[in-house]
Amino acid sequence: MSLWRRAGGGADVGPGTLIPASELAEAVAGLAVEDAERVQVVAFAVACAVRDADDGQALPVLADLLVTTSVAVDVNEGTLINLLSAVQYASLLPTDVRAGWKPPAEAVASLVRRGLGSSEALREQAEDLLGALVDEDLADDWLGRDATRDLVDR
Amino acid sequence: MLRGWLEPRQLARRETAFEEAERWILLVRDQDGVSGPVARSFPVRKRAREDRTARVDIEIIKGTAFARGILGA
Repeated sequence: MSLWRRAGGGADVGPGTLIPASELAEAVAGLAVEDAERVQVVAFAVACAVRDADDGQALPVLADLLVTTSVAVDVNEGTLINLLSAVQYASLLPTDVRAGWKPPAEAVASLVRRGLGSSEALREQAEDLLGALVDEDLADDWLGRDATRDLVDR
Repeated sequence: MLRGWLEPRQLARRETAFEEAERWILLVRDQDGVSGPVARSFPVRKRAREDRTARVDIEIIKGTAFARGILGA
């Protein structure tokens, strides 16, 4: 599976190689949330695709992954780092690439809350993301108005 | 070391991003490192539009990185 190649499981794909969005979508659709290691690899691949592709095609995949992982009882630290990064990368994309795309607000709010309730490194990352969403004027749309009020004004 | 590869202008644009990255590494060190794969970036924020593409990326592809034993106390 090429997601493993990107994560160092093989030698034929080097850093910077993009995994097609269709392949990522397939991986997310088949994801078993209890397989923590696999979830982390998929989250890493999606984050890299959002960051490195200039067409925004990985954004719907990110939305699906956020929903899938938001219902998982246990998500490991690496996965949380990757998911927070993926949302951050999405917020940094040019407006025309995002083309009105919005992540599922409940899932993003849940992710940020998980980050804030974790280790100090994760808490800082979640706070950075909150700051970025406020700076980019995306907080209400991406977190929901109530969650924004709770999280930003806490 | 990475800083040494950059031109002074490139380095100046990323100064705060490097500081944030270093702080994150130290926080991770204090919790015995982090296991890959993970991607974490430190973009330059609140700057001119041209600066917003500048950032410092950390990628851990495999294994555990930034553990105390590697970085020292």
